[in-house]
Amino acid sequence: MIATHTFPYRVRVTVLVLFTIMSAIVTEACVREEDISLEQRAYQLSGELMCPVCDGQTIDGSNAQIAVDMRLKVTNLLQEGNTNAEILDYFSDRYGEEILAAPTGKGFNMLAWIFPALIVTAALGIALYTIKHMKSSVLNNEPKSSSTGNISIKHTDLSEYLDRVDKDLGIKKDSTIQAKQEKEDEEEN
Amino acid sequence: MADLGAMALLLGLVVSCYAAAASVLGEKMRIAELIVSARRSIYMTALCAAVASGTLIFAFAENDFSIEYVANHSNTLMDRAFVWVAFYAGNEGSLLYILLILTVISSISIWVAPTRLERSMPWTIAILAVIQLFYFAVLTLSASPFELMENVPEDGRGINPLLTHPGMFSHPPLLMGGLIAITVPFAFVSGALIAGNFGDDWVDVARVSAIIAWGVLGIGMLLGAWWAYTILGWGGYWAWDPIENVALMPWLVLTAFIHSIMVQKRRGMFRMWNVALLNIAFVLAQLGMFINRGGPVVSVHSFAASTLGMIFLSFMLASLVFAFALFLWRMPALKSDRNMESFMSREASFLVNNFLFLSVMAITLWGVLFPLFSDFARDVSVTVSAPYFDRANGPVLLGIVMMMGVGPLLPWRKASARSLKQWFIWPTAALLLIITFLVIAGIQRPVAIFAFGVVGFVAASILEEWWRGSYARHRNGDNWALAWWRLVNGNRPRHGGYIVHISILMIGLGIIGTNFYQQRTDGAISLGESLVIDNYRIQYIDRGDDSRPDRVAQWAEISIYKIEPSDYAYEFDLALSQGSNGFTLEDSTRRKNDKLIDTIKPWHGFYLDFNMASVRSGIRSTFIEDLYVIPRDFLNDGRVSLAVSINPLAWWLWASGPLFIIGTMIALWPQPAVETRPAKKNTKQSPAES
Amino acid sequence: MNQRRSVLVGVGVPVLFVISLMTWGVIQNNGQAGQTSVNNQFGEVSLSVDANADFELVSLDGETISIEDFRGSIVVVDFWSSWCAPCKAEGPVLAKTYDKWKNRGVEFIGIAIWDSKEPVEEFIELNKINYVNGIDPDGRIFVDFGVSGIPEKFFVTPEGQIVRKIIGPNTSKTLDDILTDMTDAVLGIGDAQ
Repeated sequence: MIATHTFPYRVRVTVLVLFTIMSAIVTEACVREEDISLEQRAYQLSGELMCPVCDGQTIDGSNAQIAVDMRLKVTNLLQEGNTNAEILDYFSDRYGEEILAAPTGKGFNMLAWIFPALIVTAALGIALYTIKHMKSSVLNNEPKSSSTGNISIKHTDLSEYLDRVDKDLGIKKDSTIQAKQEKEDEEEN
Repeated sequence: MADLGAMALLLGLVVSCYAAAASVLGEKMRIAELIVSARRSIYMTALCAAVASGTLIFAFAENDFSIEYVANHSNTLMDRAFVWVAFYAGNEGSLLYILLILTVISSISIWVAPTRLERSMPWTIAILAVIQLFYFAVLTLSASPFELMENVPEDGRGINPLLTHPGMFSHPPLLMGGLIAITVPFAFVSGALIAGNFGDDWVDVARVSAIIAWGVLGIGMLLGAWWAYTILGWGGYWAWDPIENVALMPWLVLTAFIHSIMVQKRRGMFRMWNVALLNIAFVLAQLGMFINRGGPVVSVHSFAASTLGMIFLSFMLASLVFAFALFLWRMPALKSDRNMESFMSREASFLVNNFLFLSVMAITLWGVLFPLFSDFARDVSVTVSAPYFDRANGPVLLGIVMMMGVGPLLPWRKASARSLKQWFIWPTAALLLIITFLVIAGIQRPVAIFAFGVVGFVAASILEEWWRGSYARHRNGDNWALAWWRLVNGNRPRHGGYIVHISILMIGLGIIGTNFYQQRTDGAISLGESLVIDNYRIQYIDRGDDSRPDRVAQWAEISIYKIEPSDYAYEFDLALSQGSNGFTLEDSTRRKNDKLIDTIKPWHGFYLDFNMASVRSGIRSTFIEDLYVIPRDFLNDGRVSLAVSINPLAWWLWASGPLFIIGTMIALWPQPAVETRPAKKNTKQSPAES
Repeated sequence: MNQRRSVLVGVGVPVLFVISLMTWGVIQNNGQAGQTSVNNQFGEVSLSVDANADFELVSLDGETISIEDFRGSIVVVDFWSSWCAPCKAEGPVLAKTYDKWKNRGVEFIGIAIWDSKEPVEEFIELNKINYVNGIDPDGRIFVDFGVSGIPEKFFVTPEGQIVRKIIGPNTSKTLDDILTDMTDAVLGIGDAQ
């Protein structure tokens, strides 16, 4: 085995990636709605409100008259200085919760948002558990000699890969490579 | 005429009954002739479905309004080219179309099925026959397209105007065809399981038929998105509508399947898992049929709605019970040949990607169901639409794209630290470089920047492998193109897969661009006036009437100028102070740097009988961004009300289509050398392993 | 088999949940074509607006009117359009009912939406409508009142409290019943509000 330094490579990569993701999300969340032009906010809000008389369309996507009027209302409310949340409340007070294109994160509707997180966590958990389980189960009938590990490491080295490419091509310059290759194929299957 | 079609359907019903019974009996009583007759009966059902479909299409072509379905979905004004579209424009016709596809692909698949599946064929035939039977029964008993009108009308009601678009020739048939095609791999695998054929004999058949269903479904969805983008006139392309979702869900599961089936093919692992995935995909396809035909959720695609909800729900339930019971029964026999060796292996990464695909599926299903749940639990209606799915699925989809770069870089079995470093250094560098570059370039939206980085990471990983593989060949004297082609040919499933991955990355680019960087403005302008947004000025220069007896329609001619925003600095400042990105310009005199680049002719029509508006957007497309103009309305005072948007990278969404098809074809192309090897090895190894 | 049982439970339970929900949905007839902008069915629905809400409507004569102006009368606010079929059917009913009730402390206000001046005036003339009407050209009022279709009516007490919302076309009887209830309540008769 190749010795690893203070932190294994994969830990370092994971930390780096996680750090980038976190900082991206944090920065994104810091964009305040006051920094966006009213017009863009109106479009954004139109995409969050359903058209009450057109099945499954937002007022942004509908050409129905009521959608036109509701878009105008959104613009007016924005010009009066309402926040996005206030505007969404304004509409759900009048047209019911179903006017909102996505459920609120409050009360019962929190379920709608919690579930996806649970699903992903559970899925990843099951996947990792399965891999672990499949690693340790006893159904393996391949010989587990110490050499197996070494070969499989070497096998994945770049030079070996390139040799394999050569072999796929039919360019067998070196009979030893070929021999090694065949041995590996045996291993692999 | 109508009698011929109805007779054909009735005959098909009887014949598929016979096929199912003969097949099972023949197997149980060991009468080979019965099985052969069952096999031929399946061909016969295809003939029946073809005759029925031909009759209906002929009735459309002949304007035979004595048939209710024809009268409801066509009229004499309809362009004859749309006869094909009218065929599946309604509930009954689309069912007949599905049946046609089902019988034809059933016939083809049992025709070409390899002989080593001989033992399980009777069961496969029986399963196919039962599914056909269901459709024949529905079409004969409760949704016949050949019902006659009591009073034959002078003219029909006409075709739904939204369907008169070139995309409609292919989008609905591909989508429906893809959904029903999942039946084939399911029937083969289930047949093998019932027959106790637990080896890997079915792997190739299941893989090929699943990839075909998957590819067809994928292209069908892409065409649907393209149709929505160009005709629905809302500027989007994917609305997360329930009907779209139920097509997406089986597609996601099939995507997981066509990855993990490679693990079984190469390593003899994941057998149970692959069977489970196919079963889930099949049940989800039935769910799709059910939601489409009177399911309990509100959808924008209401024209296919019907009252068949209960019937299709029952059939879905039956498929579910069958698939689940079969799985539980045969579970113990579906063991893997090998252990997983490492978390850092391709097997492991495929398993993780599989679970991510299933997560997106489950989240989507949850979103589709949540309104029902809310109705049930507290009697309050809620809506779950695009904003929910974007937020809930977006991060997981990004994770899947990430895995798309990681997975292929990992070798089978186990990766060493050294090879990890060797393979990951360039893609990681690409990720960091792209992010740094975009940040320095002052691009906004960190999440999008990160997503671009991920796309770059995956692209780099593919290019890296291609480069290394081609380079090795190039050294041996091939020119680069030939070297690359030989590399691809050497392992078609793998490199075909990479080509599909690139097409997915292109879709990813389009999604990031349009979701994060879209700019919009709207306004009503008179002839000669302009709307200005970003670095475009669009000027309304002409209008015309295109009304027909069934519609009031107008078009506008609009010139697109590329401008230098600094020429309009004053107006931009003014607009911005009023909270707007774009503005209307009454005086459209050309300024110094204005350059005419294109002329578009968006069109707006209103169909009186349907009380429905339909538009053709004017799109000026480049691979950097689309200028997208929707004519919302032609006002009485002569102005036209326009919604204008700049959709960055939208071009890539549609450009991905051909690449997707090419990649799928390459992955599918038979490769004798690779395909026979594992089979041979299996026989050689099986004594040692069992 | 242990594994079997865990699959049975792990997959079976969520699947059962999904299936029962869908069955329930189909039986409830959910998902049938939703609401349209024309209300053909008569019915009472819960209030979509604050009880104290008011509006400023410019009438066809150019006066600005609001509910406040009719304090002391029971007010019926009707949202309608000249082109909508149930509104057409309802036109003569409304005209007659108003004439019958106007001397008993009941006022009507008609608000035409998605409409223009000429057809509205034609409609009023045709049906001999005597109560005040105005047009809400860009939805300022009806969106504020949570109106999503036509016809929709709001009933207001003499104190200016909006108390009921009725959608769809009325007959003389339905209107008479509601107005009787409301006048009774004002006079303190019966068990109505």
